[in-house]
Amino acid sequence: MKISLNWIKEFTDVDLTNEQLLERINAQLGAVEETVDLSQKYQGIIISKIVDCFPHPDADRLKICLIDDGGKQKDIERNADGLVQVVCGAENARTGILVAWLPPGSTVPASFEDKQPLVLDARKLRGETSNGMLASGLELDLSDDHKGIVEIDVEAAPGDDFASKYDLDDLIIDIENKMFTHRPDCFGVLGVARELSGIQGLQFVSPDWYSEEVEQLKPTGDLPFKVQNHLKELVPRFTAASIANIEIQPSSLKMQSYLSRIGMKSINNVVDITNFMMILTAQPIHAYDYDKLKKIDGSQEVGLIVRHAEKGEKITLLNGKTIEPSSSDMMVASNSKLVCLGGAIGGTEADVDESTKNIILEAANWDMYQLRRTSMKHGVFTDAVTRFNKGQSQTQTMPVLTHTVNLLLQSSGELGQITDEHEELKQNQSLEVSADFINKRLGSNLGADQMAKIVKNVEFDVQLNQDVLSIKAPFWRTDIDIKEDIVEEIGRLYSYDKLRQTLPKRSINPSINEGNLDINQQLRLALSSAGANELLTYNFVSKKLMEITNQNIDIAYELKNALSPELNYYRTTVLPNLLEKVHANHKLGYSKFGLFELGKVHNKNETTDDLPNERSVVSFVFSADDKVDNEYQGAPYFQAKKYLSKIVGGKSDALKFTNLDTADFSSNPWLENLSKLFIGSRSALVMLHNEKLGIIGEYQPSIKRSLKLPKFCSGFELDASLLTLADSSASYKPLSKFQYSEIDVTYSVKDTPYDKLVKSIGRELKNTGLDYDLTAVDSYRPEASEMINQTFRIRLASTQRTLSAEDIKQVLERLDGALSEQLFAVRV
Amino acid sequence: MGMIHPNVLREAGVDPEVYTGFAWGVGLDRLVMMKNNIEDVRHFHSGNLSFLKQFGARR
Repeated sequence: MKISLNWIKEFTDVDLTNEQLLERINAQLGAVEETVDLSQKYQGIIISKIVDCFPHPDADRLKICLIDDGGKQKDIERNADGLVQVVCGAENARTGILVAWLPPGSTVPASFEDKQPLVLDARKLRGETSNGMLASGLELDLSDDHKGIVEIDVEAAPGDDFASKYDLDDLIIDIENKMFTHRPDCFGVLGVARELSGIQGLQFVSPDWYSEEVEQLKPTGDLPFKVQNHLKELVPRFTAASIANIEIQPSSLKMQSYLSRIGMKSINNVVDITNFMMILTAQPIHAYDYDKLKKIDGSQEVGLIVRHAEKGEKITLLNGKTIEPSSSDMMVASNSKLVCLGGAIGGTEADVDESTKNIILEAANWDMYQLRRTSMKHGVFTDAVTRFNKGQSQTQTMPVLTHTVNLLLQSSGELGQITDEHEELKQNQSLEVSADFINKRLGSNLGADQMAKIVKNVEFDVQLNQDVLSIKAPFWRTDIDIKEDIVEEIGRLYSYDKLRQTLPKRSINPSINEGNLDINQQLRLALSSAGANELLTYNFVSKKLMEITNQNIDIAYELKNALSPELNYYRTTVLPNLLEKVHANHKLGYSKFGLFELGKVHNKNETTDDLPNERSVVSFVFSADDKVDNEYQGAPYFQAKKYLSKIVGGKSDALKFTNLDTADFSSNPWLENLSKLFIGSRSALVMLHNEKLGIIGEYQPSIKRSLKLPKFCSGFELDASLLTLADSSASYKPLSKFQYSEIDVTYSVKDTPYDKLVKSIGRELKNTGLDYDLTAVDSYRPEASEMINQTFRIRLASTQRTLSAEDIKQVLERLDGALSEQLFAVRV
Repeated sequence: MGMIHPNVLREAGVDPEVYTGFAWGVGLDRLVMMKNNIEDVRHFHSGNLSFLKQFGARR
């Protein structure tokens, strides 16, 4: 929300430098998103008087104005009387009026944020010199008015600075809306001013008109209407006033300045005042055209009826959308037709325009929860919704409406009728809280009187009874319900920064390792030690990426409120996100790299109690571009496998790599989608203890083309939670004191798989009870033979004695017997 | 920043008459941004190695 510092200063002193102020706002009120110094935008504009004004000799529509700038502008061509010549095309340019002069060298404010702001100079227009220009509302960025130049409407003299006369030498502070979610009052200038006052330890005093006890307005005209509220639960208060014979006209420059400073456009005096009051108090006000309401209903008495929409009813909103409200939306209708989406936005049927003569103003209180649903459903996000969504005070409709009427009546119109429909209003209750209770919780040492002062500054009602404070929050605070709320209030306004910092004295226990975090940390260390880079990509993917990577989009959750329209699917696999980053990094000049991510995936087909199961995966890609891929021997598949061995470490033996094309993924949608990334002939399904751990290999050619992946590219994605199944604890055997014997054996086998052979040998060696170590040495197929010779080196030792030749012989005989029986292997 | 609501403590089986606490939200990425003067939060998710390689894993 944009806050004008000059506007704030109308209600409280600010005795801080801008820097200090921003620091305090950040620490005690809410995060500042950005600040804009308007004084630069409005620099150098001088209030000047048109002393003489006559037609341009060579142009029908132009006039020559001789202006008096009080001698303020330096280095400017002046006539004998000290006047400056400016050429102007505005109809209202005439002798005697005060205007805003943009002298040569100044920047046209409306172009201030443009790439190339328009800087004025002295130039000839049809042969006559124009020194800068006389500004219109549009050029000053105050309104859309370009028909004429602005006329100064406040007390001023030639030479006065335009910006300071109209408070445009302002600092605009944009505070994040979310910081005020629980503070409806802070969506108004008054609320923020009160806070800034409290933060500085200054007593704030609300304007007299902003009070529960407001003086009842007396109608002077006659403009009858009736209010019927059929939604008393949702709309606890509906206050409305009619004003007859109002003149619709442009707002004063002062009003235009208020609105433009916080980024609102001036429309006309009625709409502007309702906006002004909303920005000031956080109470939105809506204006209806009385005569349009009357016309809709014919002869009946004008009525505003609060009700739900009936089936089939439609309304065209001021934003141009036509909607069919749901049966729960809160509506305002005339006797026969919907005229407003309550609390959100008006309809076009009864809006105020230039021809309006009689109006009804509404200040109501709308249920924040229902309004939020309405706003989300119809995509209506107005300033009114932002404010009502925070739960505005029911009390303030009357004081705010009364002041609005008074402001309008200052220029024209008569009050016709004022109506206030409500049941018993919600009141803040008094809370009793002791100074001790507060000090204990804050770790502070404040006296009860100090505490009382802190909250009195922001207009809480406080009674002190020794050390007990009896506190009642003012009506605009709808967030103070329990004693802890008072503690917070005092802590914040006193400043948390001033609290003593002490470490709590507690005995603590080390936390138990959480399985998932533990395995993630191991994976992270293993892969980064191997030189791979950890990435953190979004959990969301685009439809396009899902399609490029052959992912079945039907099983992906679609987001209703995506971060950006492109990122609207929850990912079912992580690998596509990594693949998407490969080309960009090659382009940055990295010719080879490993990327990995520890992420979570979800899909619609794996749920528990309607909630998606969360699967933790580790995903990896290795890529080397064409310049360096000759550094690698063998297929890219093996490069991925090298990294895989890093993360499984000693468990490598337990892994099995099986055919991807014949694998059955019917019960595992994650693997099914994952498999579509890989090319079956160059990839494998990784099994661990009969569980499908994941897939390793190279990618489909179409994916490589679409994502511009180099030839040498491979990777894997594994279910990280299954990796915890692998036993990582090492078992120790005492070392043998006796010498190891080393023997090479070669077995000739026909079609026995290699791993089976290794396992059989290992099993037999283990059964001997000796220490052993088994290494593969060679694999050789003699010419024209269908047998393969597999050679291993075996190291053997006993813990009891040095092994004799006879011992070794016995071991070999045992091996030979077992292998020929089980695998028809013959030692050669 | 504020206090932990007594109802939250109660739901967690903690007696709010005995225990109290402060509650606030800290974005880990924001803290890292402050520490290292990182100007744009989107860098974290960019997958850009020029960015990532400036931050090694601590062991």
